[in-house]
Amino acid sequence: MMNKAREFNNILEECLERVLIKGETVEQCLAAYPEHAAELEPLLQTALVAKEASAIKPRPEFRGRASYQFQQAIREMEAKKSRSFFSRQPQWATAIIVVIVLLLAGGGTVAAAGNSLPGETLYQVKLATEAVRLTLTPSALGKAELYVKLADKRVAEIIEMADKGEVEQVEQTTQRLNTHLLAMTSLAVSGKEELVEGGGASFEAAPPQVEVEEVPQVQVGEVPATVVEKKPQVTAEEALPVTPGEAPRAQVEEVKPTPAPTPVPTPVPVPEPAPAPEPVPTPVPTPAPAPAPVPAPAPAPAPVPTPAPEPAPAPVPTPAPEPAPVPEPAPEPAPISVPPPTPPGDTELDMDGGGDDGGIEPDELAELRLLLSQRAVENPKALWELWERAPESVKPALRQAIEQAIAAYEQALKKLD
Amino acid sequence: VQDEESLVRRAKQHDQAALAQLYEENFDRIYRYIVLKIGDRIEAEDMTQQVFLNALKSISSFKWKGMPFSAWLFRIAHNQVVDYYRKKSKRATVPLEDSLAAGGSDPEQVAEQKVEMEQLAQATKRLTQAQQEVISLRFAGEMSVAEVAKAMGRSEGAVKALQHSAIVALRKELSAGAG
Repeated sequence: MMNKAREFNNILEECLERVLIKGETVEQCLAAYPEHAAELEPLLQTALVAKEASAIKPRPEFRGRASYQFQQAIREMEAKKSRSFFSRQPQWATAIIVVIVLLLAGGGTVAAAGNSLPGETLYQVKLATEAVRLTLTPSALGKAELYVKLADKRVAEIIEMADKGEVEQVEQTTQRLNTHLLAMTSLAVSGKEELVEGGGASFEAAPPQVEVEEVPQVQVGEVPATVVEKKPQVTAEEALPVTPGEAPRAQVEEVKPTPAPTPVPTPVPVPEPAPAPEPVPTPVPTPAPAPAPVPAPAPAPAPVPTPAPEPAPAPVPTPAPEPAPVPEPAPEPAPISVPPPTPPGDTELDMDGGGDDGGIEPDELAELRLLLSQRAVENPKALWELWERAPESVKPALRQAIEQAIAAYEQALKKLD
Repeated sequence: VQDEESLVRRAKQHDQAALAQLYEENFDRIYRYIVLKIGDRIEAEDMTQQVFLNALKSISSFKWKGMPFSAWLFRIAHNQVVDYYRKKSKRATVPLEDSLAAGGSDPEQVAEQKVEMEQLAQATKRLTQAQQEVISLRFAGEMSVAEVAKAMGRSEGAVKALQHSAIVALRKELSAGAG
């Protein structure tokens, strides 16, 4: 009897494997076990129904948002790990230390760093300089404007890097671009909300944050007694024999009143201030976001799905609901696509706390919005133009840069509205 | 297995590509598992996201013991679900899925009816905890019997027996719901 039940369980499992995984029909499987056909058929049909009902997919927008947040969390983790001595100091102290060191080392370094590009030795000095500028800029408006300018710089760098075929640098610089725009928006919006609502509403509702150190505390299949909503019915399995070597029936079926598992908490990527740069309070020459010269569109060698005859997306004074068209070409999608950001907050360069971030007046906000809406047109346009002539190897990264730039500017404009 | 082990080793060192691969390979399965457990797709979205953020946070403490990495993720997801129900039970309690209780119709209907995930989730809630787990891991989590056995800490024979009884019970519940 016991053996018979075990044999049937094995046959059922084999048929499930054949029907659900290998795609055989129920009939094929029944034909292999005619003596069990009557019992097997309803079970296989039910399993098929369950399998089909389970075959749902997450919504693409959720998938995109989740991927973005996951990536962001990875980056924050990395940033945390590599945070230097400087970032653990109070920000004013960091600024002072860096200023002294750089003065000693010579102002020429800072000047030279101003024109450096991602991947070059002096580029870190350039980023540090920018961070110090942010720290030393007292007003929220000043900071927000500086972020817009820094975003321009990043676009110019993306263009240079793409021209050189530096895919990784294009990707990293795109992240920085995104970060600047998010920081700018966050700053502007919190200022705006204080003015309008008198409250400190946050930029994006962050998910609840709980700490998790050890994750799994409950064995799968166990549920604390408090969670069991009702006594489960008596099941067929109670009639099943126990085979040697298997857990006794009571163990197979019991619902263990496990001590309530520590709530599995919910950490949320909390944006950390950047891995602190080594800054200097010297104004950095801002390379204009030079829209690179566009060569006359040569007869396209390959069927590059170029978006439109004119690359420029429609001017975006008011954020359009649909993002500007993006070419569909990317042959191999990045492992995790980065959708329009809905990021958690602050940024790597935002050292904050250097001055009064007491909010932005409505008229200043309007000016900021105007500036931003110009950039929302010019910068993606410059990138579009680059797309035409960029080496194929860079195009996927560039495409992502364009998508993200458009999305980030749109998001920023939307928030400012 | 060796591939997964080295992938996990890289992920533990925060290798972005390895983390991304583990994420991509498991995301849909974890989502389906949670939906089947709670019957709410929207709520399941946030919870799925949280599973991966929690996993990321504690991956450095993950110890490879020959278990599939997904089993670890499912445990985190399971804990999330437990937590969800605990919080829910503290809030207003709305009777769930009683519409499925009535019935006793022709079991043959099960084969023909089109069952949605939510119906399946409601029917599954009427099974025992162990049966629920087997159904969720096998059908939504797409785990093999061997993997389910490891994840649940039971023998493969016990899981097969549970699977049998779970499908019988599920069929009964779905038939009742259809009637």
